Amino acid sequence: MSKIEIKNITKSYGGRCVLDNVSLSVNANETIAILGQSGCGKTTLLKLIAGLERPDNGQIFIDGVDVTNIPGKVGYMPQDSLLVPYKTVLENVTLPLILSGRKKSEAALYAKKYFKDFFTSGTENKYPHELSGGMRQRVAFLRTYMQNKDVLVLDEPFSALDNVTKTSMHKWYLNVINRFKKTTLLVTHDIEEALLFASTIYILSSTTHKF
Amino acid sequence: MIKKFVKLNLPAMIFVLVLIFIWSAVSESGAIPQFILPSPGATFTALIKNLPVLLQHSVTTLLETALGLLFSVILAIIFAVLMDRFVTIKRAIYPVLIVTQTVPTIAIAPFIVLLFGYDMLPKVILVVICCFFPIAISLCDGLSNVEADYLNLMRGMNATYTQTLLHLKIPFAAPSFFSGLKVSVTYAFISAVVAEWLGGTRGLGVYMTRVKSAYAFDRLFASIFFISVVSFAFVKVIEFAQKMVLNRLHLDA
Repeated sequence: MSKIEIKNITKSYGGRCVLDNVSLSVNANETIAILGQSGCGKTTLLKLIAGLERPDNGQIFIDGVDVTNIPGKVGYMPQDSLLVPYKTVLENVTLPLILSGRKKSEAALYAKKYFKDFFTSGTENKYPHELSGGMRQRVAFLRTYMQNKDVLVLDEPFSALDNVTKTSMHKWYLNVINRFKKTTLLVTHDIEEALLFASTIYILSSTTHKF
Repeated sequence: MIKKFVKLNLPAMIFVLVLIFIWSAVSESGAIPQFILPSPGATFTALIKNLPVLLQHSVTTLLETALGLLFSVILAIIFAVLMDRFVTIKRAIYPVLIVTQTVPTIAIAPFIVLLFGYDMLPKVILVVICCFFPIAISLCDGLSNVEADYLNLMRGMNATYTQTLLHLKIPFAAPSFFSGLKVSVTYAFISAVVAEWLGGTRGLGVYMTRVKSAYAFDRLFASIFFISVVSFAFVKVIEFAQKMVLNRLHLDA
């Protein structure tokens, strides 16, 4: 059985059809890439999977359970790192744990174990504005990972980085996905990135909005 | 640093000196009798001579202002959060708040005094009426205008409204809160003085009505100057607090 099953999703904004009858499935621990040019509905699709938008039609299943329009079922990493500027890196990373009811000290202790694995050691007490673009993305990824979900949806996580940083982030990410197996949907407009990480690539057409 | 300060403030300082010179010239020339328009020198002398009395009265006015501001902030936070949380409450209250601001304070002050007597209460109420609105509206706008992406991030992490409020909305709304507070503070002290004009036993407003009745206009001018200085100090204190808090939050004003 597929880990994620997206069935006949349709979504329009103000009469403009963004996604038209889109279906796809992802197996457990598989990384798939969704490719497409800007404005073709990639982010909308991820928001629908993350339960942040309601589809006009269609359903989304995780492990056979209908999770359509239910947020908090997947680890969602938005396009921008969206680190909270007044929280330290450690406070940003532990935010999902705190929100789920863990004590601050306990959450910090748990999260600190992962800083080395995510190559973010030494940043714990820094503020986001003190970090480089690449490091901010690593921290954002670690925060997403802390949500402790089987499924991760990543919206163009490397798009805002320069080429040199992007290359080093690619190596870093390959290391991370090999170490921490997760079912991942990666949205990108970079075909090389898709080929590097994904076992299956879906191309979202901007003309028909169909796979 | 001193050079920069002088460069920035020199035009204003020159303008103030010109105004004082005109004031002095008009008063000394006798165009307006000195007992109606005392010279800057006479005003300054009156200020120094009466400083202990002014300070004594200012304690009462300052207390009314501080209490009024405190209650305004508490009420504004409650109303702003309720309006942010429940759209129906916002639709019901927001327009009413805006309409109430068209009623001038000076017009409702006698009614408040009539209703609550001559003690401290009506003065505090008047300060609250003046200060509550700018804080409530600014804070409500600040809470409602947090970036949608951040809100989605919190929703994606299954955050409740209270968690979103504490971790995201309140810190992000701090700049808006302080801009509302700065507007309020400008009016807070003067509102307390206006309320005191209408009756009472202590306070700068009471002092002003007394010296006015005695035709001691030099002392009246001295009290006006004193009130301006205190109001200015209030604004500066809030600006300092704003700078401290926003620096701590790494946010821009």
